[in-house]
Amino acid sequence: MAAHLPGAGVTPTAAQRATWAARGGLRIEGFLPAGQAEALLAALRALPHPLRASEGALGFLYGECALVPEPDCDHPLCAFGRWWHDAGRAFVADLSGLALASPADHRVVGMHYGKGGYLDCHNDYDGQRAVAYVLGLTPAAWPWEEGGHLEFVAVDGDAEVLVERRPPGFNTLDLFDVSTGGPLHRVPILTAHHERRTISGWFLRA
Amino acid sequence: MSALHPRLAGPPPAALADAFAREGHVRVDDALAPGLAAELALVLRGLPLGPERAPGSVAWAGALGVPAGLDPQNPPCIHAAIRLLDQDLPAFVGALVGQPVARPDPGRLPLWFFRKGGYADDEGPLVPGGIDVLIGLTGGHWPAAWGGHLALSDRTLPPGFATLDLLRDRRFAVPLLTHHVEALWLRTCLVPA
Repeated sequence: MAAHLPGAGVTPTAAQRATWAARGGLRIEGFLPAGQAEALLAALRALPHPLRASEGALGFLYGECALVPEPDCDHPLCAFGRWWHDAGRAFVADLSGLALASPADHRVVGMHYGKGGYLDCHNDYDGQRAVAYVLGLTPAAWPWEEGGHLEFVAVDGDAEVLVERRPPGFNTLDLFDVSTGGPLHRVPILTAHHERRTISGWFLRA
Repeated sequence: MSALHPRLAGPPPAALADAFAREGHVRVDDALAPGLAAELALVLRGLPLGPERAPGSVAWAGALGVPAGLDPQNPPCIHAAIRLLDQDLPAFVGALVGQPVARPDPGRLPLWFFRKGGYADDEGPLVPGGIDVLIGLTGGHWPAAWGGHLALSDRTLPPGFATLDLLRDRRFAVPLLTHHVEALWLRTCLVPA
């Protein structure tokens, strides 16, 4: 798979840079070359995603599968993980203008939301995280009323205001700056039997 | 000492037996010995249960194995609950249906909890031909629209506290729980002894 991923020299477009500069985040459509998202989706579907639920203040319920890429392994997720935490990170650093590091283990985390899956509102900020990423691998589409969309919200006085709603995507890359207390965001509870899949995580401050 | 409420000592009321025979479902309120539901709810909800996805459901479920005989290391309510499920309840239900019944898996406390994101689309008897038993340990109250209630084809009931639901040949659901509340049940079944 690695040979088919974008090369090390992939660079953001001017439009992508402008969007990041203006909004501190963006969605890139068609991020991976043809066939790669399909390969990742197939690989993720073949792996167990045990359900995880919140034990603290932040509420969530989703299936998760964390994988640490092995050197020279040609499994699609290993190949993607090696690329993502090298050339992929360089791409995001270039786009954001932030000095970024990967988690020490270069983990790749697949997430699966089925009916009942949700992620309550939070901002990701922990002093270490710099850029949040969500590689969308959801092949189907459904109305936002059924949940499972990525929502950015703000607070206006006592009111919660929806700023933006991004439907689950396939081969989409959502990026947003969380280095200074990033945008409040959530995934409302999925009320129907849909399959929302992503590879999600954060690049850290270098 | 029975773990059922003292007023349930003796033969079940004929009206209750009739209702169960007619409708395949009855709910008995305040069915447990005084204080037992409160103790059980506190002890059981502290257990490290994780959510499990199965076809048509997400629930925090598990079976707590309880050694035979009194173990003072366990809270007394655990042993009372085993007595309830393995002795008092089969005796009560057996009298209700006019046939001896027993649990197929004695000695285990079957936990069936729902938290935000939990649901059960379509549930039937745990054992074909058996009587499903749900013992409610939910202290809170919330609107049915939030989910987590017991939904039968002709009625929807809140999860209940110290309640006993008996179901025979009835399918039911627990609609998706969309808020941070918690529905706690012991769920077991009784089969002809």
